Amino acid sequence: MNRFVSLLLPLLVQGTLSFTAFMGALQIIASRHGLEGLAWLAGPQRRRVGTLLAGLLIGIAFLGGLLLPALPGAPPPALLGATALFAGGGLALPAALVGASVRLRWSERTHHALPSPGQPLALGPLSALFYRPEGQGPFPALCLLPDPTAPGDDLTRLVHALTSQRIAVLALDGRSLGTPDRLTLQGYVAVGISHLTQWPETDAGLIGLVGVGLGGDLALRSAAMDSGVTAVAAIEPVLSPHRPGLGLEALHTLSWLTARRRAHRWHRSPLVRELDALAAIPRIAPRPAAIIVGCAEGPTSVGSLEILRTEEGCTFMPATHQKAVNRAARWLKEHLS
Amino acid sequence: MIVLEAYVRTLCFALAPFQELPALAELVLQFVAGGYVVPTALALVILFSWFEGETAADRLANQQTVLRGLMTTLAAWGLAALCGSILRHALSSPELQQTAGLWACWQGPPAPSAAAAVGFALGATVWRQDWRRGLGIFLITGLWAIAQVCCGFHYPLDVVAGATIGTALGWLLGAAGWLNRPLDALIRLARRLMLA
Repeated sequence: MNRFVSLLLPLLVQGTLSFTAFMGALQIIASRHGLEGLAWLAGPQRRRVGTLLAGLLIGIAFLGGLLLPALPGAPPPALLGATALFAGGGLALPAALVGASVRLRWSERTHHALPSPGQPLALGPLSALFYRPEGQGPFPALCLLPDPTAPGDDLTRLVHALTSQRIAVLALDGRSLGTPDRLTLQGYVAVGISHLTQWPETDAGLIGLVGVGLGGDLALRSAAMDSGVTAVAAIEPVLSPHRPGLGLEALHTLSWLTARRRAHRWHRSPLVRELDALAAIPRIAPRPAAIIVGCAEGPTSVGSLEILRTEEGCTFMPATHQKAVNRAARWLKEHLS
Repeated sequence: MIVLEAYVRTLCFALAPFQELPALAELVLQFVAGGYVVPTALALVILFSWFEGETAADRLANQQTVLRGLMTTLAAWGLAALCGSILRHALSSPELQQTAGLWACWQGPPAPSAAAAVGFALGATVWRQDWRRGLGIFLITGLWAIAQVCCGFHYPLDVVAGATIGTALGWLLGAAGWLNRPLDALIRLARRLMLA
């Protein structure tokens, strides 16, 4: 029994110390690279606090190593010592990911969102929210398509940016869509546009479309088919099945569990196999069309399509970055007036 | 026999300046020489490297180096252990043990230092991609290996042998182009898990 304890105790202590050091290192990495989904102690916005606390943890872990030679049975055999090191490190990663998930969930709960000023509408089986800008109409209006594979996304920033540019917004509610096919979705978009043209306070000659993520493909294709659409913009659209951002980048804004769920929905979505916006873009001309992307380098137009580049963005969770959202709103205002 | 005696006697020269150290210095030396602080520091360097990179291409290159480094490390450890057991087997005759037991500083049959092999293998692999980080790993490992000699865990030439094995293996596997495909497959798997 004593032999067992003297073998196990130094391993346990070493494993715990390694775990602590790895937890600290993961927090520093999260703060340094802005990875919300890995920051278990403090979000990347509180970089200094996170780094300081994490540095403290690493310091404690290293100084704790001074205890090891004093333990009975120390030092453990090299192979067992390496096992303890890898076990500690291996456990730290899931612990940090789960910790960050809990932190993000907690901050969502404690952050009370303002009640939506949108007016709920039922357009047949589809529900939507209508946002009317302040002041006197008629207003230009647009139909907002969320990403069908991420129906729960918060698009409040985008809606706010658009209404502050005096554009009325009809936001289709992704959660009421279920898992429809592409044609049904395009039918819903047509219903939305028709509804906007009939609204007494909107200008029927200035109707636009804006799509987010996979909704960007639908927006561009719907605009190609419907000549009543004056301008179309797609924020971080998905134009091919090889979607960027399906890796570590997703942890910039999402917890690991949410990112995995999203990736799973993306891989299973039949819409991904039918992407065809690139073929639709030439048919939109001469009407203005733009995509807003978060990568800084590359061309600014391809044929008639404008490519608006912002300094920041998230391919996997569009419409969360204020700069991208503002850029889209300004462009739409310019082309819907 | 003469070569072996000279090999063992180098430890006496190395240990001479470290006789009767203050208790605190002894503790620090034990701390550095042990199997916790330097391996953990090296593991943290590896962990930081995995996430480093200004662009996606830089990060991919770093991740390839990390995986290559881990593989080289395991190979170096295995090779050092194998060489050690071969030497132990070759030098296990009772006559040799009896004679060697009379030598000052005899600590058992020589064996390449696994610590030096592992650290230098990692350092050599990383050096090919980023010489500054590689140099850092060499220095940390050098400190570890020297502390192990000072504590009498290894003969100085064990460290030299371990470092040679590690560096050669690291340099060799670091240049192995055929490893790219399996390493890329591992990175793709990690990417699917949103960890790369």
